[in-house]
Amino acid sequence: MLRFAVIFGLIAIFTLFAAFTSFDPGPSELPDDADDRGTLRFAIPNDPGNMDPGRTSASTDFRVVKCIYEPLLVIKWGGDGIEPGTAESMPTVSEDGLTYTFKIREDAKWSDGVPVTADDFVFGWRRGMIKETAGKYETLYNIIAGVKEFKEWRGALVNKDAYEAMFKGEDEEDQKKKDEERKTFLEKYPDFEKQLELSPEERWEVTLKAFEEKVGVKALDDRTLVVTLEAPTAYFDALCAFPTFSPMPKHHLEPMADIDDAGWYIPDSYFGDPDRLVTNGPYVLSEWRHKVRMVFDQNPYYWNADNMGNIRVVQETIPDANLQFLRYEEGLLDWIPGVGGIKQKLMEQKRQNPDEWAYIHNIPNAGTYYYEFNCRPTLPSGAPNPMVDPKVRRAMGMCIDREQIVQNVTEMNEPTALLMVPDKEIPGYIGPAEAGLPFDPEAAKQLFAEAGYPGGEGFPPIKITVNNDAGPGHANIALPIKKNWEDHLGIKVELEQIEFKVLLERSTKGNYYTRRAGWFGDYADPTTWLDMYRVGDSNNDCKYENPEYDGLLKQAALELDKEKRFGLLAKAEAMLLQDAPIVPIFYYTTVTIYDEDKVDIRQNAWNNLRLELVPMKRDK
Amino acid sequence: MLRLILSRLIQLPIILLVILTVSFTMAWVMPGDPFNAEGAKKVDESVKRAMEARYNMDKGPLIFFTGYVEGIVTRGDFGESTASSGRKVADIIKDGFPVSASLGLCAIAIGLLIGTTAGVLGALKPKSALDSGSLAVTLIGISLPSFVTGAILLAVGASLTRLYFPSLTWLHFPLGGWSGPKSIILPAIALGLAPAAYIARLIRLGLADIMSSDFVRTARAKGLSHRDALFKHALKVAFLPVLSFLGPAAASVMTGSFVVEKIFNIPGIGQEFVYAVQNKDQMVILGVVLVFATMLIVFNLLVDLAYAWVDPRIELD
Repeated sequence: MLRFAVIFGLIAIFTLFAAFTSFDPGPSELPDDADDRGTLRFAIPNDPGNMDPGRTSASTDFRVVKCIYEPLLVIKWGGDGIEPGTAESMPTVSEDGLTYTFKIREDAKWSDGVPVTADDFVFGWRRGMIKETAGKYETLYNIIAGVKEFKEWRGALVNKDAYEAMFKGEDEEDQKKKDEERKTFLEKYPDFEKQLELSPEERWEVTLKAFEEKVGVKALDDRTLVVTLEAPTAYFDALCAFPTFSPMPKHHLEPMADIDDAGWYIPDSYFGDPDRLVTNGPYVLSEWRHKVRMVFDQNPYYWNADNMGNIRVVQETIPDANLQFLRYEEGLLDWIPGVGGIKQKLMEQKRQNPDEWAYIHNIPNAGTYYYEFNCRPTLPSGAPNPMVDPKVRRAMGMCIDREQIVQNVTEMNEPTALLMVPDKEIPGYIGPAEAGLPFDPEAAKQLFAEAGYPGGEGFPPIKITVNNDAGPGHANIALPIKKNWEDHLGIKVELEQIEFKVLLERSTKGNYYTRRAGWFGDYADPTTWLDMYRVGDSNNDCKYENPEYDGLLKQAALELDKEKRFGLLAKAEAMLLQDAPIVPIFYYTTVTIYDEDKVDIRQNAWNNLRLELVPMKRDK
Repeated sequence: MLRLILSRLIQLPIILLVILTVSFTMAWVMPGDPFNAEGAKKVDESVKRAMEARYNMDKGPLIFFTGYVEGIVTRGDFGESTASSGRKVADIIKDGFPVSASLGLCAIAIGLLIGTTAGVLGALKPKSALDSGSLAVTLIGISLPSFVTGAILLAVGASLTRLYFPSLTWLHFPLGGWSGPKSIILPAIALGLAPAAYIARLIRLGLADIMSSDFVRTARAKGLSHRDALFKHALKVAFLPVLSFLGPAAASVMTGSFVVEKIFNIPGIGQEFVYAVQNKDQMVILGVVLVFATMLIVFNLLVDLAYAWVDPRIELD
């Protein structure tokens, strides 16, 4: 018996020790001074993944990255327009629209007190362009002069394996093509194979030199940054407010960088480490208790610190939507930016009793939910793909009853979408309303017959492919679409549910008939949707190829007049909708919870927030 | 006994290596790639290649795996997460494991307490209302998934108590989180109910069997009461199957439950594995598998040792 008591005692002591050392003591006290500004608290479902502005791609990650880094320009509070951030004024633009000159604020400082210089921008952007530290948004840099060439060359120079992989074909035929490409590549960069033999350090030296020679980003002096573009770009201002274009503290990071055979890089762990991080935004990251919370405290060196509405932002990680809501009701949270699983229930409550539930908002997003058709003539299995015919795709698009979906399936009453680009969210842009494919089963039947499948005869059975790892939502939307197609077109449709990563892989390989897709715009310009369907774009999974469409986009890119440019883009969008590699279904909405009288979040379609400006009083 | 412990400890690394190899193979052939995990936007091929080079994944599975094992053996380095800002796998485990382990042990303690009580109560008066009642309760305990019991516990213990008894603050359990002893209670119950039900049934059925065996009949014949025979002689024997259940149960409960951790927002290690698989975060997958396997082996060893203590007739060597 005694032995048991000893064992149990030991286990109990271990338990208590493990529990007490792991308990969360809560965020530290706010500094005790006269400041009566307080804390903004909100919750998100998953711990942030990546806090490196060059590599972040999730919108929830962007939100906190924007708290600690400030690019040259920033989006105005409320999302309407752009204003100077770290730059002291809007840039001066040369007459040809190619050269932008930015002046950095004299009082812009890093959180260690060192002034922010033009060189910090060069350093930060260059980091975003070299492959080993670049992220999903590195293509945004392509509009800067010389970047594409620099990236191509540098991507091959990382190491020999990367170079070999670049020109490795999938089969014999592909290999021939790649050999040709290699030849052109080597003609373009005659010294390349010699450079590849250099040591990693020497390769980095060469890289720096090439960057300076080729890329149109230059620091004239400490406070002047000159950017030359490849072609005039109407939305370059908006890009300069995008977190990917944040500066990096060169004085702090350069000594930290590693150079080896895998390239030049700063350890990933730096970007989540409150002890090492040096940032230039309104806040500094002062605590990151993983899967519990992130605490952002006012950056004492921030140039606009006096005008901040609050001095602390606390982001709690709470996976369960119910629990988030309970904590809001209990007054432990000020805001829930995106409500998860219980949003239908909440909206239903609000419909019945709008006054009592006034703090629940359903906000339209600049994001489109759509179906994508595989436009390749054959599937990887060799089977012919009936979706290659635009008439077939159009007919199928005309059979989708969108109203039914948003009212009875998603139950969120999202705005139904006939256009790919949510034009309401882009000031000045008027989408080609006439080109959309509204619900019209009769016309669809006729079109389907024209395509050679009267009453669905001779049409092979197809599949709708959706991912099911985010819950049954996508499958629920697919079911009425499947029924629409079966009923109106007389074809056989199977619903196929797979994991998202499998869906991605299958899309890249073209192994699908039609799949669900969604796209959120990154900046207020139609190209953020339309560019995806250019030939060769890495997001053009469906392999839609239309030289005329590409031509219109190219023409629009060179057009300086905003109205004319938008006109060209609308023409391109009309072409896309008529060819129907995609069929828009609805525009996403976000259900968000905050009391407008207490917390002035100004949540908007682009999720462009200025958390530092939201006034919060300190609890006394 | 010493020989047993020694031989198990020698086996440990070999078993772990086998488990690691199998898990790694599965993780490697699993579709997807760690740099395209979230969002619809895709990472450029050349960027992906460069990232793979950084994480030593570009030279094929064999080199990656031997590099990984070498890192563990020579430097104690379990690698870093590709999905979350280069966080060290060792840190992920160091932060999450104590949370999951202490919660799991509390759950097991609750399971033992409730389970033994219910089992013994049933066996004391077989076929009585108490017996069928406790059997029914345990049946519910086994069949109800923890996301149901968890949600109910949270609604009752944290939400309704605040609503209806605003002044009884001691009844207000925290709304999730891992902030103090009070925050353990609800999740530990949610997690402990299933093992409790199991234990109750094991004990109830074991006792029924043993109470009709020869040695108990002899004890009764010598004048021992039903109750004394049960507590002094039968229970000890009936506890043996519970012990062998406890080993793997403790190991699995202590390495965290995705569901309970999610409902109660507990920063344990249980969620880590699910997210890592979703993101194809290879080194996190392997790290968590290592923890789980080690726990399983250690607890099985502990059970074997405990067996010998309870029943000296069992020879371990």
